[in-house]
Amino acid sequence: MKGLFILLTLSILTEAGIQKSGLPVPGAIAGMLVLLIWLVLRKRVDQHLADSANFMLAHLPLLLIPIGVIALSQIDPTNNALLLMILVSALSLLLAVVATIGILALLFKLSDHLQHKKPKNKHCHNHGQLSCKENLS
Amino acid sequence: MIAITITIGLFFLCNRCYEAAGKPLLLQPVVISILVLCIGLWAFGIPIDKYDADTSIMQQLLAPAIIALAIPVYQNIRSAGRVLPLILLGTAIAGTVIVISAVAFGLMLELDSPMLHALSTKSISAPFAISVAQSTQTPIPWVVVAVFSTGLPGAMLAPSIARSLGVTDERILGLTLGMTSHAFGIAKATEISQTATAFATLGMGLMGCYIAIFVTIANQLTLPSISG
Repeated sequence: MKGLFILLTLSILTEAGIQKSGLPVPGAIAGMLVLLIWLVLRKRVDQHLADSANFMLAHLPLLLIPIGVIALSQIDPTNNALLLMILVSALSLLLAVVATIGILALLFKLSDHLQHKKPKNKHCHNHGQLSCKENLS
Repeated sequence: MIAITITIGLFFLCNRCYEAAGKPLLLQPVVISILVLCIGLWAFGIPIDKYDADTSIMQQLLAPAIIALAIPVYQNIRSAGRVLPLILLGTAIAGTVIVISAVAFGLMLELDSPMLHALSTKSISAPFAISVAQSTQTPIPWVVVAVFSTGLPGAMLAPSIARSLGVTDERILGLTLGMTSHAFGIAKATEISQTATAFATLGMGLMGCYIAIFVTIANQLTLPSISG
């Protein structure tokens, strides 16, 4: 119950704060970032908060159903623009998947490359050529 | 009260069928529940405004549920360890490419402004996209179509695309599923491994935050000018 109270209070406060400040961030996302920063600083998650979050997240798809029903009932299936938008969605999806895989693979490869090089260079820099050879052997 | 009871009952029924059928992506309980409810409302002549009013409490709980996502994101940040800075950098680059490419394709096919707005958030989870739509006055129906028409095929295609590109790292596959196909991607990642699921959850959370902020700011700066 305490966890749910924290989530609801945070939701109300961040929504009000965003509306008042006019910051270009949706209230719920700001609330999520505030909680994330708080957890990073505390370095732990209290059990009551974890239990409430797990309960809410387990039922998140259920909360989306009314919004989905209302959205779908407002769509005109004979609208040609709808088909065009789905086509754009599919085209950009392919590009998005390929680009994301490519970018992440490149970054991970670069990081592995630097990790392999770093200790050797550091060693050579600190202790000279001999230590470097010792390190390699 | 009847609308909420039927919605919950139908969702749990769809969930049971989904699990019994071996969790195929096309039978996602949320998708099937929405379709069945739409047909039901139409068949029984129930006005959508009445359903909207009767289920408003469920819609209001969406904001605290988004905030709750901070907990799995934090837990997976800890498990990501030393690759976290790379993931953050990858999120920013990939997120920018995803948004710009979707809007550019839309502009090429001369789609109108609400659709361009909807396309810009198509790769993030529905609660994030709806939250952005509410703050940018984008019609939610288009947002829901864009999100669902990306998530479902994305989750089905991403593993094959990764294989054909020679990528076998489950961290990369998990992140890609979460970043491009949001909750559908996580559902797919659970079939691959625990590592893929953890990274998919992290990818979905980080991409949701990044694109939500990026699109909201870009909307104030540039997108209104698209509509002229």
